[in-house]
Amino acid sequence: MGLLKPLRNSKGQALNEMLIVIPLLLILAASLSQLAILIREKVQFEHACGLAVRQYALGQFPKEEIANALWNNLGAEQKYFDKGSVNISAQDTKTLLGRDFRGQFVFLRTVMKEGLFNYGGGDWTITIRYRSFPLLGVLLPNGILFQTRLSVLRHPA
Amino acid sequence: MRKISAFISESAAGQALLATLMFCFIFVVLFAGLYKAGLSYIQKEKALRGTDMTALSVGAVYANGLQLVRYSNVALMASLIADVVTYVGTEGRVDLNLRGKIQNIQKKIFGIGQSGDEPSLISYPLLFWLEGLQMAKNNQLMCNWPGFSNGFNLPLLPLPMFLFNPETSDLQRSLIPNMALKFRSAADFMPEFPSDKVFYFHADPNGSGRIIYHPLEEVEPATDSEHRGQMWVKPGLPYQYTYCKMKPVVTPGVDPKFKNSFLGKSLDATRELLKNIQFDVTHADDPHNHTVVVCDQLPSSISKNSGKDTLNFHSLSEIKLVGGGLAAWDIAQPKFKVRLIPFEPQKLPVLRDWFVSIPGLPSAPAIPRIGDILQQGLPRGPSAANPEDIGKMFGIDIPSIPSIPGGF
Repeated sequence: MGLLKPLRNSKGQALNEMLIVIPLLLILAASLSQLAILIREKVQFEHACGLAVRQYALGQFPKEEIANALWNNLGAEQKYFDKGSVNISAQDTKTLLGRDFRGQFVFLRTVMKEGLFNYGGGDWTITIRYRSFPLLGVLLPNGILFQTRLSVLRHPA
Repeated sequence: MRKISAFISESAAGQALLATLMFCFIFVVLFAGLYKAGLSYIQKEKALRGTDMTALSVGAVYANGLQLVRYSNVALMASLIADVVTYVGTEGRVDLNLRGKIQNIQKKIFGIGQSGDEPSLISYPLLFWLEGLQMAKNNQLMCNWPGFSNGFNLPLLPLPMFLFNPETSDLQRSLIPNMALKFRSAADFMPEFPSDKVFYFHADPNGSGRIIYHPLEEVEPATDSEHRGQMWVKPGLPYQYTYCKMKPVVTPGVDPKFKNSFLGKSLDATRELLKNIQFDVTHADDPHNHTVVVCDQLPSSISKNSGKDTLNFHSLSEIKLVGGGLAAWDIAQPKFKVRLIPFEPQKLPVLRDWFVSIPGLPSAPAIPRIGDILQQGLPRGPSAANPEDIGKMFGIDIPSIPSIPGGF
């Protein structure tokens, strides 16, 4: 009977409920904002990759500089990413002619070197690690891996 | 059930539980909506990037082709020298006509016709069209042209769609790969008659009652008008953005009496004769204009219409080639560069004008607005965007379908 007496007294019930619910609400709202930030950074990453490859296609730097260009294009969003995790795996892009053709017909290589089909490019798979904080950083200490694939040609190769 | 109902409605704990469940439901809906919207943004960015990459790639192959034109003109020059040396050396008995052979090869390879640029499918332009298809696939864009994967079936709207040099040719010609080239002829060295002048006019906005006239060079199609053909004064000029009407009477560039006289007709006839004397390959337009527009869509797994369909993202990109001449003496000039041009939605009225200029098509509806771009699919009705209308353009009978999914 003594144990039941406090349960029948509803004074302070609303305060107790708020003490439980408000933190839950805050966690849910924070999760929403984390998801929004995650999506925004993914879009920024895709955009930065496209910008870097577009700069390569316009002849501003060689293939080897794409990783640096990607990092520079991230701009203010760099704080969300880990520079050391940028990984670009490149393969010769599939084309009808161009570099592939020159490689296959060895005897024509000299003729084609300068100019019959002087275009080429690359097919890149770019990955980078997104360092999530503060909420997701607890759940995912290694971050989230973003990956994208794109391909372009440029002239001259 | 009565106990549960009583627990929820009468008990404080039950009401708290109900409120908690409602909040959780709201947040789940918010999460799902945010996730779907975010995926859409990511896919839209990928679609824009994919068409940009495809357009740049097509431009690279196109630029390579223009460099090949320069090389062929060098070969033409060398063949001309060889012909002249042989002719002079044999005292006129032997004419190798190597230059004619080289010109025939140029005509075949670059798709150049007698009366200017004639698109050809068996030529270099076909190469950058095929490379464009391959690059669209490499960038995960849709490619549903006939092939082994779809049993060589031609879809209603084959994608990617390319427009080659649309600004200086009509829509039908721009759908077929071409390089906007022509043979320079002797007639190009004759001065042309001054062209007829068209003037546009408007009232003085200051209310003075004066009529202000502008030549055609000072006006452009108005981008914010729903009336097709409405012109306004170009920005940067006095009375900029003022709507104007065309003067009904055209001011002739040359006195009609002179044009119809014996001398005027003789000059015209001489020009026609000189057009048959062809030299090297050059740009078809002055100033030269080499542009490619790419239209494609990125398929996605995001569902819409309660899961009955998937959301596809259309995108348009345009590139322009900048460079010098194509003559043999331009061989030392820098190679042609590819430039990505920001696509302007205001150009849509111009595109619509292209469609309605095709004879036999029904008149188009109101100029599409920015909001139409964001909608998935244009309203159905007599429209140049309908597949059967596009089929009429090519003389193909295409059955009608309920709607074009993912229209732009």
